[in-house]
Amino acid sequence: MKCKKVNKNLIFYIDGDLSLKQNKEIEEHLSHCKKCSMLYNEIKLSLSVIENEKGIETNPYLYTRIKQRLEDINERSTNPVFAIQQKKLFQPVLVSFLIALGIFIGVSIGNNYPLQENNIADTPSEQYYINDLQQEHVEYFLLNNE
Amino acid sequence: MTDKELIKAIKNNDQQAFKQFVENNQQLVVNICNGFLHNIADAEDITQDVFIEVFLSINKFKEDAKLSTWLYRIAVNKSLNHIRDNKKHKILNSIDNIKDPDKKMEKELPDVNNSQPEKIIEEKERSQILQYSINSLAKNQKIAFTLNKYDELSYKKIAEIMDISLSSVESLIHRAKKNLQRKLFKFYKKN
Repeated sequence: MKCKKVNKNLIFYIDGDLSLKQNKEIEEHLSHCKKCSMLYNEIKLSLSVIENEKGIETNPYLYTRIKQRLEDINERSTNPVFAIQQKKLFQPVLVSFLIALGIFIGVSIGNNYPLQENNIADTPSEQYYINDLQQEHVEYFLLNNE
Repeated sequence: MTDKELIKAIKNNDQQAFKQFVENNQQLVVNICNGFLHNIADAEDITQDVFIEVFLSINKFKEDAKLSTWLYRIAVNKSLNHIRDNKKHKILNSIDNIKDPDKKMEKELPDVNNSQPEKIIEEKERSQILQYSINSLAKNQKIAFTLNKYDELSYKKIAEIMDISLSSVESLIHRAKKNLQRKLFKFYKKN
């Protein structure tokens, strides 16, 4: 058997999925091919991780925790505030209410604020714009210098 | 107690029957969840969710169906959903790690009290390579392979849980092994 064929079947060889004949051929190949043998060991070690992960001891308090959580769920469902929350209605209702409240406050403040008419006649005289150029011509300065 | 009697008792809010049901099946459910999640704490949390869902939706369950199949199906779905949600969480965590690299180092340091830290690191690395390779399989291949390898469920049971034919399960597991070997082979050849 060639290396390529052995490499393709290593996982099936490890799992014992191959026929006796194929098993023997791979065994023979691995006994003299160092490269394939190393690869076989690596894959076998990787798959052994699965075996290590299997033997988990379950938590003895698992049922107690489940019971506690079920009691919490039951308590929430009987509480009207949590019941609304559970229906996912509470948040959109609250947001809509806050937006409506904001608009109402904005409108009522706007209505109570005295309107300011922007009439030029009401502008105090000291704030009038003075055009200096009209009073002091450039030619006037030139004449004085002479 | 038969399945029918057990379902009836749980429907009647019989706490003792539910306790018995949890105790009889918790090991297998934890194994299924851990097979997908590779984390005992997460697997136990999801196991709690699985039994809670069973208790809350037992009234919808048809009495002529198999309770264990339904239970395992919930365990598989909850585990896969957890992986999906965790992907989003991991992205957020990686952002945190960029902000605070010391925190990331603390998490990754091996247990210094252990006498064989090198061996532990090597095993951890192997486990990560295997997890990565299994997680990169197609969804159905991953489910069939995990149920067969981690939980030692028969092809018939897997076919019931996945709601597919026996030959499909055989084909899925065969393809999963082939792809897994290809991925492991590529990795070890590179290194």
